[in-house]
Amino acid sequence: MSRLRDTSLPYWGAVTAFLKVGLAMRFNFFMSLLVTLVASWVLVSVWKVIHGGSGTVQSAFGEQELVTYLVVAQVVNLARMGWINRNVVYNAMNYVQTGKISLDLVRPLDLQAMRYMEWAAVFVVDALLVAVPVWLVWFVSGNLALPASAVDGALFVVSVALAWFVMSGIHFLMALLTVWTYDFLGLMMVRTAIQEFFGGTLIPLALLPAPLAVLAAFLPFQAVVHTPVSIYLGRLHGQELIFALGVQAVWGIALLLAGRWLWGRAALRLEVQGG
Amino acid sequence: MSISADAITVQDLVKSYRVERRREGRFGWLRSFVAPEYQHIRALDGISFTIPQGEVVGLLGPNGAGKSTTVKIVAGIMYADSGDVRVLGRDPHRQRIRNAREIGVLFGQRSQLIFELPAIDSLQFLRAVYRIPQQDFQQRLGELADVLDLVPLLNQPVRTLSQGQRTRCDVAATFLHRPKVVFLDEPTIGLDVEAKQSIRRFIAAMRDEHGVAVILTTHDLADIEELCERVILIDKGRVVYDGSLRRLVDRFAASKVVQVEAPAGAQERIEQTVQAQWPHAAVEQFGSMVRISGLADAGGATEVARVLLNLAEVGNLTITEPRVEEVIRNVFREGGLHEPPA
Repeated sequence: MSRLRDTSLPYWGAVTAFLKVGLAMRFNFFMSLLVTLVASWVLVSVWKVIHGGSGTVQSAFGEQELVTYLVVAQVVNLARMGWINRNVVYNAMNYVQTGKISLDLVRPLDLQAMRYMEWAAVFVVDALLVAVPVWLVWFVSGNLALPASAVDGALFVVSVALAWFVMSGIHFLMALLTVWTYDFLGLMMVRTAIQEFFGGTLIPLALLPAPLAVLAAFLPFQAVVHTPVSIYLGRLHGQELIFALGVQAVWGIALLLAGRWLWGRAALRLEVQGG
Repeated sequence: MSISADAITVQDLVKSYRVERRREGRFGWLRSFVAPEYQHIRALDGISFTIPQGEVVGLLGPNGAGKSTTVKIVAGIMYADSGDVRVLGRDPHRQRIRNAREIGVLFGQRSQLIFELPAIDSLQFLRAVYRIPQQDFQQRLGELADVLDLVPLLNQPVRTLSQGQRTRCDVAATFLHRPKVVFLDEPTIGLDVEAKQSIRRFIAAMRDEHGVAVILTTHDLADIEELCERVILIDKGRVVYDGSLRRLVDRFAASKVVQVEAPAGAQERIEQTVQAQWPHAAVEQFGSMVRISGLADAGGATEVARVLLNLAEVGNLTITEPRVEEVIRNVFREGGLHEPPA
């Protein structure tokens, strides 16, 4: 037990430090909250209109169900605009480009483990200062359904934690790609666009035409948004539900391993320029 | 693996960078867009040196000479194409994490402190990272805060600190875990004289009390003069000099300067006399002074002085030591040392 404490201490240090950073950046979170509220309001307004005029959409979702889907998707959207994207992903990618990564590499820490811990801290702060408040605002205004059942609610939380695991894997790989591209803004934009679409934040995946829906099912992005939201809505049961959670876990592990492998390659290639 | 007292051993380090090159010709920019062309630039071309425990060694060279690349490779940040690096007997890449426990790094232009938080939070983070027991941490923090005068700074967000204050906190962060090998890259850049002094004193104390080995790269040669007995000069990816600073200055006394006061009428005559015997010396007249530089060695300067003092009108003669800065500049201007490095 003390041995475990000894090896994990540095990473807890990282979590604590970044929790403090997150809380010190209150203003950024406030803006992120605002942006997310506006985004969810716009999405809900647009989709209400579509819902009113489309039998296809009506047969897939009831109105309150659709609103709940869209809002909860925004709540769990770990790639949201604002602090997460700005500080976490931006920093990790920017580190390579500016050479700040040097300062991580002279620490006796595993780079990947440290990044995951950093993102865990940010995730917790984001949950407290953005995700839960957005959910509350919509819930209090009477538009939102509660999780389908207590069990679904609990599994939703598990699924969101797994979503963090998958998302960290995606972030880490993206950050490493900058070792080859030297550019990160472009990569970030591409990732955001793909993720918004194939994650199910803009359009519920159930409404995608068949070929795209199949493609989405084979990408990791659905594990970040679509899966937790579907669990919240009670659309997954029994084996289906266990399978969906399993897919999340498998994606998380696969991305973790891919990250380790790619980091091995990237380290050989890393050119920290200037200074 | 042999256990040696050497803190750092570097052998035949070679490193090239791949750099994109604009194609020639009128539409070169377009052709480069379609099919970029790369060239390999050799940043390090066979660097070797050894640094024992307890020594502060200055690593000097013009911009782009390969100083930073050397430091990054030895610190385990980048890989070399070939060659061997050992830090305390370990390969700093294969054993990066274990090596990192023993080294400290300070990049003067790049703070390791967490920008948004008070410095004390960064130090707490480092306490966890290096697993420093709470009691030791408190004691070391007390010492560092005392020597570097950090007490009023520790609870202020780093982004509100001045450069000098921030650097002092960064120095504390570098030495907190008692590293055995330290890399200091421009530690005093942008600091005022007093802040520079306090940092130099601190580094000297760490060397003397804890036997820390230090590689110091800097453009401020006062840092070098105060801290290093030994310097390594790098130019175009090669070591051009490795030895004592004193010897370098003595050998490169080409900039030794004799300065005399003389009335305007006598200045021409002085110039002719000097030029007749020392054709390579440079003679300049300004105001009531004549300045003779480019004398080959200390003996030359004394000889010139003797001759000049025999001229009746001459008064107020001084022989100036070349400043280290001038020496180094001369070394690089002349394209390195022609004798084999000692």
